[in-house]
Amino acid sequence: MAIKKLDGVRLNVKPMFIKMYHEYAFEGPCRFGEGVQLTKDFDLSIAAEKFKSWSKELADAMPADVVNLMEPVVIERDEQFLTTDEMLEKLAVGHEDVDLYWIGYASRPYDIVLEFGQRYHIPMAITQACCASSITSAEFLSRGLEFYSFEAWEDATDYMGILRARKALREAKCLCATRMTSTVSVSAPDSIIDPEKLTEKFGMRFRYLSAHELLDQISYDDPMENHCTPGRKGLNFDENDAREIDHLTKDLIDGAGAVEMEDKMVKKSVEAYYGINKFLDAYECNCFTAPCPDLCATRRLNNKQFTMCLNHSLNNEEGIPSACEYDIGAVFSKALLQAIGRRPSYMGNCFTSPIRNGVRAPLPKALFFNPDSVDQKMVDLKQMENIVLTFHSVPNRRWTGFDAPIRPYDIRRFAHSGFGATIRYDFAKDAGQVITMCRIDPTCEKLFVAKGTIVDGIGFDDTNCSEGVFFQVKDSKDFFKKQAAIGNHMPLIYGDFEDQVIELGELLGLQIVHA
Amino acid sequence: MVQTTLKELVEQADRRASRIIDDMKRAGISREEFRFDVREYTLAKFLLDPQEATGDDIFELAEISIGKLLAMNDKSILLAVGSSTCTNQSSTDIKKVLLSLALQQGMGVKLEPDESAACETTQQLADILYDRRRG
Repeated sequence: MAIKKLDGVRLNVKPMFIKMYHEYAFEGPCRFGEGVQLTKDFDLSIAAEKFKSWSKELADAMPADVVNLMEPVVIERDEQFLTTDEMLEKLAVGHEDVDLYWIGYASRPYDIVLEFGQRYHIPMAITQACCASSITSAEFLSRGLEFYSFEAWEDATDYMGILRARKALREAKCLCATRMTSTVSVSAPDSIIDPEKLTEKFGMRFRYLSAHELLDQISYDDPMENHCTPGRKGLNFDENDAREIDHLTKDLIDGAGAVEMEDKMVKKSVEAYYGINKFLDAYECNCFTAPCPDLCATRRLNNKQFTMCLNHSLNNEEGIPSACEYDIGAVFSKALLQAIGRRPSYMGNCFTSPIRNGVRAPLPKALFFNPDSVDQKMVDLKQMENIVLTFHSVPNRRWTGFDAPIRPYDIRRFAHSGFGATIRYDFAKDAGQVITMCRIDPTCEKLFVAKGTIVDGIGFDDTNCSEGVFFQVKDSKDFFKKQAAIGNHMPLIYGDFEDQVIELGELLGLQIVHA
Repeated sequence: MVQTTLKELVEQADRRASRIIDDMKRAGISREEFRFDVREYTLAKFLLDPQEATGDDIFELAEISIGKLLAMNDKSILLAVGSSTCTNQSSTDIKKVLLSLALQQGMGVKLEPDESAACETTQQLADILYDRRRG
């Protein structure tokens, strides 16, 4: 499989260097010196030295895992400041592949780079060197052209991660397995109202697939005999797939601490993961979501004996943003977090645990949770204030990178009858870990951003959708009020990336709702 | 004891540099002798004594030179270490370019600006001048 993962996206940066020389030896208000310093040889030699040192500074500031630094383009012109079409055409060679031009110069590049910017509309950047940065940035920005001016190379390095993340979002293509509608999920109507806004504003694309066709083809049956597509060859598993599924299942089971379900049931969830990835590959997608309650209602998940949980966990670990409950907003937010943090994200139902008059509001026991575990958490959390819980049984096994070591995990069933493999991760062991979370609002206008510190976990020893993480935020009342206009599922990543997420949100033109 | 002015130091250095150029033009000069001369010439032009600089990196030598000149600036000459073309060019770049152009002129050799910029040590500069002179 060759899914184009978002972590592989690189920002194509092309150095653009403008050299200037004086054809004649003379002094004036912007040229002074004596002897050899007034010669063309001196000017070009100085320009060569500057180009060399500037190129090294630029290269040192562009991390290879963020930026693809392209071959520089260099032009020379004399003191007449003439801009010719030949110069512009030389600068523009290969511009289709360039995400950002970086301007370097040996004396006064302003008019030529502006004309280039106006013709080609590709973002440009400069690092401060005397007065050129503010002159150049002001001439671009005042004309509505995208431009970045950095006070120091270190600042440029940091911001390349933000620009790479924006590009990654533009490269995001989500496979959406639909049942009832292609927009609003039954269980997550707080998600994106109009997915096309994500395309229009951020470039994220979508491919829609009938969930029934998907379920048909997660199968070893004859690929020509699928119910929804009879006579059309499907992506059903072949012998190679079967071997790979067995291999993946064994690895998953062997790597787990406890496995509290039958191996054959684990395998069925691996089949779902594997089949979904075949579709991701075939549809050239790198993100995924599928409905939960609305698909549950078909009884086909019960029939096929898997849930989507393991698929989401494994996808996220591999750098494929994958969200529960057909929550496209969560997919986008996970893609954003993963692009910034370069690490897997987690998501879940998110709500605060307020204390009023010295008493903590009861945590819910219904539906997902083991009542005994909830009672225990009410004791464990004591009078700790500003506590928030995010829960869904889709944790990762690695948290600090897509190739980070796998941490200890268990496997337990989702359904009481024994199917639906879920990763169980003990968040309590990570108490003290800072996390960053974000979620886009249903209108694609706002981005909720917050950070917290893990204090405990829930559901590690349990089944169903009870796996979760308790964390402490700055002000849970403020968190609650601000989340109210944003939505429930809250994607998060390990680490403090709050500033970067806010920077990216601002770059994307989103109103930041900071809790 | 009479204090030597900076102006006098520069004049002495120029005479020393001129003698070194003459030696560099000598027929039969070996590559090693030529390298030694280029380094000596650099030290002369940068107003450095051999004991003040042990390295071979032109920018490092230029830095030491600038530090020395700033410390002893007696206003007898213009230091000429600032930008002279509004390119925001560093003082060390300017010193290196002036050194290279002086050597090129002295040896009657023409280097491309990028070739000169690629030389980071006196030995690299010596080698390219030596080969170009012979070629």
